[in-house]
Amino acid sequence: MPTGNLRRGSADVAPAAASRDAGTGRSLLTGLNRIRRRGSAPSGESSWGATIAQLVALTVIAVVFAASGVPAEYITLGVTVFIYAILASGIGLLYHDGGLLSVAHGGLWGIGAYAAAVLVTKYNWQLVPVILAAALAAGIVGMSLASISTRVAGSYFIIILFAVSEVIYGVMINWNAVTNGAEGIVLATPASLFGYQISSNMQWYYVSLITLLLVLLLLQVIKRSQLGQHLRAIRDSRPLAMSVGISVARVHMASFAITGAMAGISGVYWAYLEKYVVPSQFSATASISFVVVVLLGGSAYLLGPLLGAVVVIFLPSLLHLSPLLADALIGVIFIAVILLFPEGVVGLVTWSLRLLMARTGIGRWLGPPASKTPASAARDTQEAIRRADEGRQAEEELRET
Amino acid sequence: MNEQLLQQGFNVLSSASVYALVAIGLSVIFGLSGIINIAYGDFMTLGAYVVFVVAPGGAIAFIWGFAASALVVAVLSIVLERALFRWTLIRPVNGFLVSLGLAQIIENGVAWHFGQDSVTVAPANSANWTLGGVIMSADRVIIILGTIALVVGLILFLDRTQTGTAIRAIAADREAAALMGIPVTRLVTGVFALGGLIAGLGGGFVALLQPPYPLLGAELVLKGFVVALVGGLGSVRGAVIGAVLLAFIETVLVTAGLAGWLDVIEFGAVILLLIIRPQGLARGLAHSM
Repeated sequence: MPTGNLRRGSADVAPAAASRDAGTGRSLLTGLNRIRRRGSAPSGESSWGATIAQLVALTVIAVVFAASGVPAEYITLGVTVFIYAILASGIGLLYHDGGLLSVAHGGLWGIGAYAAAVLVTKYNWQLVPVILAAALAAGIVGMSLASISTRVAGSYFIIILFAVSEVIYGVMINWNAVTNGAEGIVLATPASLFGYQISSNMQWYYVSLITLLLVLLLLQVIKRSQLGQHLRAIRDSRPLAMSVGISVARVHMASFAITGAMAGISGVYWAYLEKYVVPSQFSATASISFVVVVLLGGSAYLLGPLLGAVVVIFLPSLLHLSPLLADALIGVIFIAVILLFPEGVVGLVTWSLRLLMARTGIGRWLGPPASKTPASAARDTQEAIRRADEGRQAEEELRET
Repeated sequence: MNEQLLQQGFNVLSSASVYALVAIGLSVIFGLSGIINIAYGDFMTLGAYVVFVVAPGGAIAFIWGFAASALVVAVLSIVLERALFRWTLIRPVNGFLVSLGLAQIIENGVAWHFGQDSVTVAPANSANWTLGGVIMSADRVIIILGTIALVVGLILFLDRTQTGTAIRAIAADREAAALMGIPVTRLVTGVFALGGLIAGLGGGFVALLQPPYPLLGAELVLKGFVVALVGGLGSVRGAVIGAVLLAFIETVLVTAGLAGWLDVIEFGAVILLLIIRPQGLARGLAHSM
């Protein structure tokens, strides 16, 4: 019987343009310098310059969009996009760097939303403590998912996470004393942040935009940190990673806790935006739509999940389709993207732009090269081995003295 | 008391039948292709709606309804395998993602065309038989007997025929099977057709149990996966045992007045089980039997 392991890697083909781009002498020199300065360059990541450039571009576009006098409902859609992106970017980290496809984050999102609804309506908390509490609650539940990911992989992991999302949904609908069951909770009070009232959608637009920027920055830090390196090493070969002393449990716990906390924060904003939380918003269907958002945009890219959210949220209202037909159409587009452009919409755009600008060098600013090449994957594991060796040497030196 | 027990047993069997059909279809497709086909429940929904279109009046026309739903869903499965799933065999997680998109298309398409409320299908046979004090609706007897026939037929097919042996060989090791000259891609298509056939018939059975609605299959499929997982993904017998176990536990919980917490307890128990015994329950049962 098949063990159900994710057969990763076999279909990960880097677009030829990326390797061509990296072949120039100048980028080779920068790469060497970087390795000399601070260990190996993290695989598949863009430079800090490119990251900052993307975040600045995002800020400019978002501010111009809001200031250009678009109809009020587009602002609301914009807040929804940012809320989705805060959550989906975390799922993207788990999938791309960790090889973990989480279909339970819709439930964690719901935990955040319910934390906000309960703490505000019953105890009248302020926004900042609500965010902290929601992040903590969703983060702790998220962390417990590591107890599953360390035991089962691939298909089994996906199915069990579906079970987790059903459990969370079932608790929401049955725990009447706290969640008010299927009737849900109305959250009509405006949030107060450092004495200011946040009530209009335009205010939420900027609050969620700033949060998204911070989340994207944090994710970029994680990807470049030892945690990100270990996460990728585990993804590529669990036995090898364990053999060099990486604790799968610790790395997965940290990753799930961080992305779970992001889901919790996103849920708080959602509760305030919708002014109403009810269990049906947070069922397995919600988790599935987040997975669609992440992979539609492209999990390998910093702005991929955000772009996926833009497509999923703006498409129905731009095409004036009925919601049912719009959802069906998104299903069609999603299948096409998965089969034809596994790098997602951003991957497709970047790839075509790179092709156009290969000689000008502008393409370099558009984002990371396509997902890990075999060489970069090996580099993560090598780096972990090197660090383990260093640790052992240091230990031996200590013992000698 | 004894009669009550028998009555409960009868009810367990009829709901176990539906779970078993979902789990078997999922399990067989997973065993061969490694794909978690989340759209499988929606294939059943389609089957139920085909029955609604062909035989809304029930009675004897139900035979045509069953034939039509089995045929339509099986042909659809072949088309989808050739057009979509074929390209994901090398990376089954993409097959899962494709099935997510498919589920979205089918659920919303059905809701758009037939409306979001349930439609009514008249019973195939509205008689109620009483046997030894147990009241058995004829429709439930049809479901149970039909499922038993299907399961026995499937097990015999997989165990006794050359094609069945070839299918098991592919499930064990696709590359090695291909090297032995087994036509892997053709059999994968065949198993998708088989899965579609089971989904079509299962959808027909479900239409007898409850009025079809667009999310009917979506709500069944997660339980189907849990059943298949407990029984050991890829095993037909395991799926049947898992289905009976699930239906039994559900009946006990409902009798105990815990109907609302049903899903939490079931799914929670499976999560715990998998944390304690990641290899599933199937091997344990196989050793003790």
